[in-house]
Amino acid sequence: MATTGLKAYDQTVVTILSTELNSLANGSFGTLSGVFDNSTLLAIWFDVELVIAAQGSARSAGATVTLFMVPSLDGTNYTDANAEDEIAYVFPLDAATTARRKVRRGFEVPPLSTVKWTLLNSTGQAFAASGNTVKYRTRNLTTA
Amino acid sequence: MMSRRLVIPVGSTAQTVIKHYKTNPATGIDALVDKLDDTGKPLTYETAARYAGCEFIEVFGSPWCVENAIDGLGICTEESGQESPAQRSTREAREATQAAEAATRAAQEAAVLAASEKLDALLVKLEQKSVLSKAEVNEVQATLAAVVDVKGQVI
Repeated sequence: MATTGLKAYDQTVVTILSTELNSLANGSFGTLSGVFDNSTLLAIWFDVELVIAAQGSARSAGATVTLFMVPSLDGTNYTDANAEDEIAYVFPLDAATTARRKVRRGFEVPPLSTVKWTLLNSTGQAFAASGNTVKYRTRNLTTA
Repeated sequence: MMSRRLVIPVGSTAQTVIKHYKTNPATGIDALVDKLDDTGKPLTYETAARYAGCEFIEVFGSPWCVENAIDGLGICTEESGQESPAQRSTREAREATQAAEAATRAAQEAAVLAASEKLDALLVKLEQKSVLSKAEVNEVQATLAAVVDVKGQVI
């Protein structure tokens, strides 16, 4: 009898946002990522690692960084990349200058060839000039 | 009227090509490459601004940036300091927790005061039945007031 279970990751970690986050102002969105094409891979879940480099001044209490999904359902027109977009993950951060690494998992992605991502900086301080990244790995189910 | 502007690095122009780190699937190593637009050509800040619905491009440090206290790069508006939905839910959760803690503290304080009033009433009865003298009653009441005061500070 066939059983369905989790499939192991079958790809290495991929960087989706990097220089787009350089010196990103507080309260601002970074420029959109490159296209994430899920039309062939057909992954179900999009697990993410956020790395924030040490910031020049301490983050505010209640600091967050939010990753938004910006899809194009018709293959041409993307959603507007603002605060009303679909939130993939919210990363709460402490009120310090310290660099932080956070992993989140389980966001479900559509089977589209036209998905982009953007990050909103709500830490109260601009990001560092380099060293900030968002990386992902996708995963699926398998039936044997 | 609020405008949406793409703030770009000093020394860049609208025609500057945006670069990003892209992972080579074969090696897993990141390399700095030109970012591509939807037609496959190198992506400029001008095109990125159009994709993002930005009406203007501002070089960081421009008069508009100074006027609106913009502290870095990205898609900014005159209300960039406003609370995002994520920040609002974090703040509301924190306020709910603080309100619950305050309510718990108030309930504990009320319980301590109620207990001390009961003891006061018992002391009066003991004095009336001549079990305790007036001086002894006063001493107990003073001690009780000091205990309630300390407990109130601890709560």
